[in-house]
Amino acid sequence: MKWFVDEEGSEEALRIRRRYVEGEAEIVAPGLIVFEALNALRYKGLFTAQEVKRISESLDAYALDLRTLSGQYAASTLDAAYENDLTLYDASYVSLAILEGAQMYTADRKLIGKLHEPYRSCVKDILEYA
Amino acid sequence: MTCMTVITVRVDEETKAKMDSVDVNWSEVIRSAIKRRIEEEKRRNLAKAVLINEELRRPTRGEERAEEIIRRFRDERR
Repeated sequence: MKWFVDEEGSEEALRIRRRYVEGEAEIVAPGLIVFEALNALRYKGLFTAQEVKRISESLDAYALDLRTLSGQYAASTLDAAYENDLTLYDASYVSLAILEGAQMYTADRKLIGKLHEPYRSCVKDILEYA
Repeated sequence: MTCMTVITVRVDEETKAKMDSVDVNWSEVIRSAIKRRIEEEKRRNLAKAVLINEELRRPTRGEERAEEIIRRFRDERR
């Protein structure tokens, strides 16, 4: 979302985008991210329905590596949800970072505040992205 | 009947031991991963993605930030 609206964290989010576009970084995310991104942009009230459709086209063309919640990923997500008292929506991002050995960046400090180890080490505030 | 071609994938010994310890059809796993990656590559058009992105990117008007909207919807679905 921060790729489409200039707000706190956008500068860092655009640095992630640049590295992805230049092939220096990969982006892996739950399939849920598309629903949440488009829904948040809808409720921001900054875009028309037609513009949100264009944003959907753009997200599709980015071809991010999106994962379906199944198998080991589903089991790990449930573990993360119960161990950290998270919704499954939150846990699906955190557990994917663990499974992929990746670093997760988020602007949601409430989520970061709820995490215990080993989950906490995998998640950083987006403002820390250099 | 589809004619199948054989490809070779090398993995380290530790991974091979882990693969042997679970009951998984690894050929099917690799076939699925390859097909998924092909679909991603076909969809990938980064120039188009960035072009639309830059055309539509705009400043906030002080409305709820993205993470606040997402948090609200996630918590409402608890």
